Amino acid sequence: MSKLLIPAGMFALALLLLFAGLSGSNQEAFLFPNVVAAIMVVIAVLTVVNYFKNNSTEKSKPIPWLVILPALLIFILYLTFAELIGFYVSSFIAFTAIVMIYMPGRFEISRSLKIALVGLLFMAALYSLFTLLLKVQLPRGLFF
Amino acid sequence: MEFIQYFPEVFTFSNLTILILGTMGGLLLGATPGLSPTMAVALLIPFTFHMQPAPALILLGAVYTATVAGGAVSAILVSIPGAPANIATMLDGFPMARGGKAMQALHYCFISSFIGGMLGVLLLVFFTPVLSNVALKFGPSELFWVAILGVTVIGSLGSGSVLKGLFAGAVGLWLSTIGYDPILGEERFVVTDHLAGGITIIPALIGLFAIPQVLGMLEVTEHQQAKMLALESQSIWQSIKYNFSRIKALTIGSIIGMVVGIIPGAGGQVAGIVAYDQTKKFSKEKDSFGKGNPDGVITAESANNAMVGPSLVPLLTLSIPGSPTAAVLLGGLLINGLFPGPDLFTIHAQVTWTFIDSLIVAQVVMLIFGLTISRYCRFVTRIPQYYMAAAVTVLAVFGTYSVQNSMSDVFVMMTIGTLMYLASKIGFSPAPVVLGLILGPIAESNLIEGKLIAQSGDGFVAYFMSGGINLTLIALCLLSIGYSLVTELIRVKKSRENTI
Repeated sequence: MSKLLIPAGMFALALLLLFAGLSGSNQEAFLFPNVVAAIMVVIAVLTVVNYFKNNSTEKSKPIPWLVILPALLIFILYLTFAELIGFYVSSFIAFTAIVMIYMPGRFEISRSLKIALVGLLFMAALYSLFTLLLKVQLPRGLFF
Repeated sequence: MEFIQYFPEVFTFSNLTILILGTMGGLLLGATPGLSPTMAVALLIPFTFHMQPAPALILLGAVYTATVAGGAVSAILVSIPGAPANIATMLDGFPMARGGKAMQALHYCFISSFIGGMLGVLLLVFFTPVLSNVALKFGPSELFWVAILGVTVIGSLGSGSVLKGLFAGAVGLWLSTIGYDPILGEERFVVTDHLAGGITIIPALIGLFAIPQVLGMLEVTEHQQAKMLALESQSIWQSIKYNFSRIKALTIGSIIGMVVGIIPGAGGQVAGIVAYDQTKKFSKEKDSFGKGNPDGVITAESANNAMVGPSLVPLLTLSIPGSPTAAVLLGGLLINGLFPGPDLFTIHAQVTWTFIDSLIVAQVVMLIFGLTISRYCRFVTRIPQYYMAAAVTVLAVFGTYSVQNSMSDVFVMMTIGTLMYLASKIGFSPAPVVLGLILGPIAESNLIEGKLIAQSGDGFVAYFMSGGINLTLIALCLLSIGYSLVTELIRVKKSRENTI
């Protein structure tokens, strides 16, 4: 039964997009997205039919939420504070945080210093490429 | 034989130095996720302001050639295409690397890039006047059908199921419509200010490939990584022999790359994917594609590099760029006072032919440096996954931001990437979504332009469904759909038999 969730979800998404397009004020501008959404509905219906005809060979993998949640949290904090504290500082913090959390083994000060040094070298490489060579203007924020 | 007459110009000390530095820099820029060939050439144009026309164009041409090939390095080693043109390379290149064949994959990539690239430039040298007329025959209706042909290929890029592949491609097409309507300027599906500029290709490309890859890397245990570190080595000579033994994949890739290159606006991404699809269809080992078949790398790389030379044909003769990067290169020509057309081959013959000759030399330099850096891929494959995940995350953010100096792009990249990670768990693949995003604007703008032309002429059907090129493209679309459906039915039947 859980396998039905995939075709059902596809069908629901296709319908949602079609209704979003049909509710647009100037329908001429929505012609192309509506055609695409209609095609999505047809594909979703075929997938549902496929499921009920027992042709479905769907295989889904479990999502390891406990493993990826810290990373997702780091992503959110990184993007939220990047402009405020500066691109390079926030990137350095995100880099070291990911490595420290996901590196196997116990916390040790010497290891943390090594990670911080690698992070600094990586930031120096990024600074050379993006700021010095390509002259990209990155947000400096409060720090750098 | 003017191209031979101006060959020595490329080998002056300053020109050759610029060419070598441009090629090496191009390989590095191409390998950086987010720095596409178009962006690399655009970023370098200001550097050429104070240069003479010939060295300026040599630099831009060398960077163009090398970034297209360089994008395959990150596609193969970390499953993040350096540019949209390298999506097809990744489909088999990364599984090869994961199977300990990273060096072979990189060898095949650079050798086939060289062969395809040389054929493409030779086409540019010998057939420019003839091919410029072909480019003129592609109007909105033909370009619309080219985009539709690309869409029909989408199904086979899924992770097995044609229906899921087509659905993912349609999602990509739909996502490409977010933002402002190209003709009427009407706002569409802008639910947050971050989407006001729409979803541009590079942030989407980085998000769709990099973020699921990062999260996937963090899932990998130490035991699994130790298994992935095994690396087989292979001599360059063996790789060259193998490459030439795969003549079918090389031929299909090179021919499709050259044809797509001449079509204005299509670009390497379309060339690589169409060539990959066709090689898979003509192969006796279809099931091995997507699991590390070297033919996938060979055909995709020969196609996207074979596109480089021909994409300059309509540019140099008619001012019509054959690819997005060629459009930026047009800016480089104009800055140097070179206006495309007959004058380019008469009054400015020295600059033009030196530039074209430099593309041939750039292919050789690219091959040498590419094969050299292939020897050091073991260092990349030995980096622990948590370091790699952290580096890719930061690089993805920098690469995305630098496209338009926009934080909204970064938010879009991260959101789309996280959703793709979740979708990948239920069997969806990012390649069809990206292809949909790329082809959406081409299909939509040409459909609307064609509709307007048709209204003032014989009508919609007559305009879109007549003429040799239109009918050929429609036939190819039907063949592609029919083939995908038959393959899907056979796959389902086999799968059911195995279950029983």
